[in-house]
Amino acid sequence: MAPMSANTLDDGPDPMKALFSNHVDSFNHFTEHLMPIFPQMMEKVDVDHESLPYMRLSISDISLGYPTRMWDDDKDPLFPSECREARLTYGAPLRIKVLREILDGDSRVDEIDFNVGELPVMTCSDHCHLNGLTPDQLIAQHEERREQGGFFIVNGNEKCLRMFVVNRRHYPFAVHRSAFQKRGRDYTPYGVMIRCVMPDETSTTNVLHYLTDGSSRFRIILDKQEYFIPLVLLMRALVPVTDQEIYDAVVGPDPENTFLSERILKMVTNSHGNKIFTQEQALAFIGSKFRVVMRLGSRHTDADVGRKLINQFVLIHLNSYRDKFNLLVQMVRKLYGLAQGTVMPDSMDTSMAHELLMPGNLVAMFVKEQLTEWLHAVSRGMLIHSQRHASVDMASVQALRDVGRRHGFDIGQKLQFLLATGNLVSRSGLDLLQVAGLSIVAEKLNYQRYLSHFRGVHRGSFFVDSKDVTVRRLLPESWGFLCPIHTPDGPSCGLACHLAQGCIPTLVNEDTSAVPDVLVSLGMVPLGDRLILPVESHCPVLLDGAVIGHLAHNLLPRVVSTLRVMKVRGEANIPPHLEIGAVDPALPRQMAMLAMFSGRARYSRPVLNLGLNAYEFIGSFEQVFMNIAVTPDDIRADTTHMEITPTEMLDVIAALTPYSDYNQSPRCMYQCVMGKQTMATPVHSFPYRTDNKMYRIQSPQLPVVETDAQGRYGFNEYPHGTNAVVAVLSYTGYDMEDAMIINQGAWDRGMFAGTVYVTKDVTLVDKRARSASTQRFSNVVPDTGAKFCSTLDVDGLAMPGQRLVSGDAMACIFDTITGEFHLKKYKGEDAIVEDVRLLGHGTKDLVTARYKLRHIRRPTIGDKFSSRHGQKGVLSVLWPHTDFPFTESGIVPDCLINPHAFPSRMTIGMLMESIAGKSSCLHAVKHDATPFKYDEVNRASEAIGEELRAAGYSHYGTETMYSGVYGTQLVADIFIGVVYYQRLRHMVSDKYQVRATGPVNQITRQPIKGRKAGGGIRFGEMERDSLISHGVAYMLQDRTFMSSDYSEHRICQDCGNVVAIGNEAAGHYCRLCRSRSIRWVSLPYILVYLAHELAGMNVQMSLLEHVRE
Amino acid sequence: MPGENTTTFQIEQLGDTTNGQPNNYMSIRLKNTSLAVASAIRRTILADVPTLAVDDVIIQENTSPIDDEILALRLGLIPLASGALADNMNRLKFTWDCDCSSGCEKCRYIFTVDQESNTLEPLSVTQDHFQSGDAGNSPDIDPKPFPVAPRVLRWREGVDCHEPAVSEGPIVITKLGKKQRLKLTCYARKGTGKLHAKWIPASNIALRRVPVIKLNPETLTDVVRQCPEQLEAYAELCPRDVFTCSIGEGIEVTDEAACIFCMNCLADLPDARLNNLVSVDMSTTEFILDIEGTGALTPDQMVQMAIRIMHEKTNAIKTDLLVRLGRQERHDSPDPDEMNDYGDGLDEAW
Repeated sequence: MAPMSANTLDDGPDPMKALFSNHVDSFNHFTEHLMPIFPQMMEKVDVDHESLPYMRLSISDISLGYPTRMWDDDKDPLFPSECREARLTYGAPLRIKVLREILDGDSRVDEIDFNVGELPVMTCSDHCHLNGLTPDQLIAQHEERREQGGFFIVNGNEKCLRMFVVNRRHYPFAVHRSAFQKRGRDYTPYGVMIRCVMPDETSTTNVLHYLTDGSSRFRIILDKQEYFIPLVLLMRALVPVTDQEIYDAVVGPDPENTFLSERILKMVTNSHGNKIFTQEQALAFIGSKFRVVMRLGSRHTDADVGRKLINQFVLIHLNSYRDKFNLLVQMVRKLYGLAQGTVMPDSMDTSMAHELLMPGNLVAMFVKEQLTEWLHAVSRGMLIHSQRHASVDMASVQALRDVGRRHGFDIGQKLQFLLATGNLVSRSGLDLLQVAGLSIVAEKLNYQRYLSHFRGVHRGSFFVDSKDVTVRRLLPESWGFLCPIHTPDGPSCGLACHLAQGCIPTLVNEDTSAVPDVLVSLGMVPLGDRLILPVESHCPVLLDGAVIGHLAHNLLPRVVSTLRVMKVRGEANIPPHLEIGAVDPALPRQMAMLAMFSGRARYSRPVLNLGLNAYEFIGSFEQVFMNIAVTPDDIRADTTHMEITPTEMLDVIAALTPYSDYNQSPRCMYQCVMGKQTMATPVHSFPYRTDNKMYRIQSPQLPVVETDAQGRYGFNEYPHGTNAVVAVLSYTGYDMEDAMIINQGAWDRGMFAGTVYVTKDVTLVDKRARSASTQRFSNVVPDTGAKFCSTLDVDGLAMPGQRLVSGDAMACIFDTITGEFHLKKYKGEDAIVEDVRLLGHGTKDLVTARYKLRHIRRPTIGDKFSSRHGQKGVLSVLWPHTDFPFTESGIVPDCLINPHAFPSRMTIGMLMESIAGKSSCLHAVKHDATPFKYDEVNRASEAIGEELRAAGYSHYGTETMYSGVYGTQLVADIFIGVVYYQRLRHMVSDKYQVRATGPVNQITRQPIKGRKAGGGIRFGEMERDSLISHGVAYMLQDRTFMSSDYSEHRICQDCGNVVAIGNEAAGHYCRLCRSRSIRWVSLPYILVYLAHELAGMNVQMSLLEHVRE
Repeated sequence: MPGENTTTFQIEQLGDTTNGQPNNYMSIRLKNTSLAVASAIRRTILADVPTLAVDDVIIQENTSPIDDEILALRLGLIPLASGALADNMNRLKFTWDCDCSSGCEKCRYIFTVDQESNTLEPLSVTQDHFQSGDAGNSPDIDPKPFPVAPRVLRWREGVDCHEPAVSEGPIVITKLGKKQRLKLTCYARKGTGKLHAKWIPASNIALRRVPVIKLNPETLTDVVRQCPEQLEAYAELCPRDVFTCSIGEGIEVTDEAACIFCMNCLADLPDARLNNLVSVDMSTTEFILDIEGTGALTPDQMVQMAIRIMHEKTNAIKTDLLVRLGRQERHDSPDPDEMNDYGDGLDEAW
């Protein structure tokens, strides 16, 4: 059934582009929609000091430019490739207009422009020069043909802001958290939590706490500090209310609920002690307590301060105090229901309670806070400036300009720091749980890994160390939003997740102005000016966290379905991404509610609305209450929706595994991890990249058996393996324990041949010195004109194509003052010079030679390979082509794997791939191995088996094989086919560690540790124990003494002293006992060291030899 | 071994000569021999029959997108016509057997390639751009690079599959963009498959035992009488169409040699009455060798050279054995023309 609606996805964006849109579009949203509203959202900052005129600072305009070559006179556009190669930051100038109002005396308004630094710009965003370029133009700019951007370039490194899971905004969650008890005396684990977000993405989390005395307090967070406000005080501050009104608003519909009514009554009564009865009194009381922490001067009244506090920290997503009050009432009702036991705590670990922290939103929060801090810094600077320059008229424009230059800081630099280190330096903490690890390097190890950075969603580093495993669990609520397969094994299992293919997070706050009227027409009772709830059997209606009315329980199903029709059809201005979550009153221990969300950063995905035969975007909150079939077979009477394809639930990487539905699930997980470690084709712009390390396979192939994701997401442009003829048999004994045997002939022909590119710098200047260097690269002796070093070129650098081995000269440096030549030696694995770049550090002098070196990495024994089914193994031997077994048609396998790899791992998908690959090669067709294509009725093995039979092969995929050595037939038929094999980046050349003699520790004279330093592998306690148990004493002595810190010393035979042996003409003597009976002994040096240390504390150690008479 | 010197070769099929290519496919039947002999021929062709291949590359200039070492690998894998070695393997010596110190016309052949692209269209540098080096080359050998030959593909009619994209013509070494240049000198040397796969003259050798498929006349009569409708399905069980089923007549073995011993005709039969209808055995004295060449040598040259090498090796063993037994004097100065590449002693031969 083809959807026949305007609401289709057919003319949607390029699927590859869509994968990066979370990043690119959210950054665009920041520059287009969030940044422009900062001026109106930001609080004004006062300059309030008796020695200065009373001034008020605010920002009236913010603008972001485009990346420009600032050092260039022509101010040419700066492109990302130049930033990468020259280790620059890809940023655009951020300019602000500061508005200063002088409120004292002759009031005046000045507006001054400031440049507040180079703000890093996301590549391919609207502010990037790559935006909108055609493939040919991208190639001309040294980018990939289908570059999608999404990363920042900071000091030449490609950095990507991670997406994090944060709590869903604008919905009160009932939580039971034992940590709440630590908030203070009488606090219980019960609370109602709501995360509130302003239109500019500034967010704060409020919690309403339940206390053992039945009262309740409202928590706000101000500059990372928690403050608690008594509920009734806050209610009075919000709306002018009488005691009766508070009671009616909260208890309203169910007066027989004595649990609730008693406690409310008591709370209201107890509040009379403060003598606070009016709204003004309440605001003034709150304001008086927060004046200092709010950084507000004396010119604001207490009530003003109270208002500002409520505006900035209490249910900040709502403007009107009445709306805040109404929402607070709902929170109170939910809280007492929770305490009473009639409402179940909501789980905060399900995707239902989650949304995403999008990169653009994070940047917005960060930049807005920095702008505020900038104003505060200038405000403080005003005072400092006036004290230092007493003669200056601080009301002058020039004074403001000077103060802004001197005391304002570089906001671009702050964001650069965040991107470069991942560390968040923030006054408020941005309502996040963590301050580190916000950014990651977008490694171009291969395309799969690169892509995963942009699809990854992290739960937060807070949970990594937590013992609680419930956050890691795969919960059904995340179906279709987060991939159940693609998560790493180990510490971040279940925390580092990836968005499913179909998941498209919402980016904008949609216009919901039409929704209340539509709902009223459908039977909702609007709130009007009343504070009192309607009668029971009505549930509240929440639209983005605002209570807009009440709806009778019996109307709920019809309202939801009608609203859904309007949403899908685009009728009555109901926005297409509106999430309609109806918490059914029939559900036990739930607070019935119609909660609708239209905001940004929600999980959202399209499914097929069966009734309308059109795509509908659903969110993770409403999905829980919906009935969605996966395949047409699942459709039941109450099914309303169906998945577009069953593979929508998989992540891009998981969707690459062929026949993954036939594998045991952990194997699919392993493949997701290993796919990201393959040596592959990371980029096509090799000549223009100077990554620190880059892996490349020289003879990549496209898989003959592939899934639909392979082509859809551009993986065919970045192949990552080889179609290998694989026979499953135990042939030589070299294939035990997952080892694999590779055909020497295949190796000779270049199979899996790889290259590692490494970048090394030779710099003339000491970075700390920052002075003009007296050195330069040269290889010409000034007098003779001859070369100083014969292997290098005249410019003092190695030639491209030249081979370097450890100890070879890498660069020749000439010191213009001393007239001396100095050779920089190459150290490390044999390498070939790919190219050399000369760079300057912001000067015209080219002071750094950047070498791009190439290491040849043909497969060696011990290198790691894997199929696409989590079947990894190491190369154990290169076996001669002649001795390999062969089939009746003369085919010699490329590699042999052991049949024991299959029974316990149950990777049937690999067997399927093998026969499908064989059929593909025989018929010259590619096989579509998208999972869930076959089932028990329509069996894959039969379809592929029939193809094999048609090609003249056994339909089981087995063949008679002959021993290559003897020519005799192997007794069993051998399973042989074509499997796509990947070479993983773990190579012996990078890991081998061997040492005979080598460097020792200065103090202990024992061998040092560490592969890089040429150290040894520790022969530890357990190894020692095993030698003892074998009784091999000499072996033990050899390992722990002779090969370690063996040393010989003179010792006094009379007193046993080793630390003070004197030497004079007459010979050696003991300085302690003057004995001349000195002899040589061999001792572990560490013992002698101990003796010296003890001697330093005036303790003598005696090593006495007792000779048995 | 069944009798002495009785191995006979029967050529079953010779590769077609379309496209003007010399024969590079041959199927021969070895009769009256043992598995040891047949296997030895296969192994000798793969491991010991010498050919020419580019072994050293001196790259003067390479601004192509392909790295030097990968370029050298690709050059090495280009098959060079080595027919000159077929009648006299010593026409070119192994480097280690040659008296010279750093290569001479007796042990190597030099090619040069010098191409530069001046157009925006990529220039394909192919084996056709190989130029015979200088006067240092021996005129006796003319190792022309061998172009890609059309593959012999076998599959049944009617199977839904693509027309295979057979690339014919010269082998592409690299492509050059504008202003890119490739200038290099290749040293082709004699070598064997034992050292590197590039010297293997055959791209594929299949050694098969000759199937002996017999119909059991009694069972056949029963089947024809009781369930003749099963016979057609039975014939279809064979993926290689060994059997032909004619309605009313029963079934007959028409293409015995095609059998791949998959045993589909013996196991898991749809009807128990079909059991024992045929017996599949392997001949112990007849073998089929299917040889497909890379173009360096023709299959018949490979077989002849292999037999000569085997012969020389066995002779060497025989001579050595006799010497050790004291029945024959060792030739102190063997006639160089009679000497083969493998020395004359056990130590060197093995």
